[in-house]
Amino acid sequence: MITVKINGQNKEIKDNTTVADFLKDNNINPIEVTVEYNFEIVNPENIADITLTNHDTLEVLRFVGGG
Amino acid sequence: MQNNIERYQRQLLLKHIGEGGQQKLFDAKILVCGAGGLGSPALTYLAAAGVGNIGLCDFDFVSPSNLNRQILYTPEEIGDQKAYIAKSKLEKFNPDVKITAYSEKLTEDNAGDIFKNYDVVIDAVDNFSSRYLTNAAAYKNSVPLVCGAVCEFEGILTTIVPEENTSCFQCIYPFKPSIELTSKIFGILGAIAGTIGCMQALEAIKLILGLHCLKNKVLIFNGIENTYRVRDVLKKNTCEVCR
Repeated sequence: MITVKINGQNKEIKDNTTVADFLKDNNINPIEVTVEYNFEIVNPENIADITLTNHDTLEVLRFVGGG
Repeated sequence: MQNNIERYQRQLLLKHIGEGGQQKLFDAKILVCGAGGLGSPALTYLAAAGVGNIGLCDFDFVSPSNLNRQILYTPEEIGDQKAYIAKSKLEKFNPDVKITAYSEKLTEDNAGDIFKNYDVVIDAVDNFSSRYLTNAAAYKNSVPLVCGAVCEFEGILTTIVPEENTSCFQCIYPFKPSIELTSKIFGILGAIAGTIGCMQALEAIKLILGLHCLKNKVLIFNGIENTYRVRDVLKKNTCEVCR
């Protein structure tokens, strides 16, 4: 297990989890969110290429509706 | 000050407002883009505070599914144009305030001409295309912009100040979603839209008063967990809008 700071809170997740895996495991549709990995916004096309490592930081933001 | 001062007595007591701050609010010009779930509370509280010139921009008509959150409208007004109903109600609510209604759709062609008449713009729209448009128009015309969004039980808020070269909406969302995302898809509870809409009004008022705002920061509200979280938004030196 590794520790990743997700939306401000330390969480333990499985080794070799990609950003895409994390979103899928948490029932988050990648289309709906903007993902910031270690303070860089990730191109949605690349989320499967980023494997989370110990002490990484991940922010998942949804800036969706209004009316 | 010429307006009905007694109406503002409770906020005149506030050390951050007082007579000087109230005069700034009377003189202020704030535009709200979208008179829906976010716009209804934002407009109401701007009018309540005595913001002297309020613009509202919405081309939509009232529908039954609006009524769980768009508190400016009633069942009798279904089918009527929101911009004019909102203007009429806000003028009755506070006759001190001048309301200008724009009933046309906001476009790249008209946004700049409208925005440049205002000190602050509130982005209370319900779709990504309009968010990108308001963000770009605000930056191009150097008008501060208060962005808010809601989804299910969550809300999010940030304030953009072009003159201070802050980060912008596109710094947060550089990759436009491949499909249009609105509350039609995800659902929204009125109280969540009300919370964020009120906070947008508060941010706009603080901008007018020169108080601390959410510049280069984003606030995330979770209504289920009762948490507010504020985090930094890094300006992207590759941003197409604000670099």
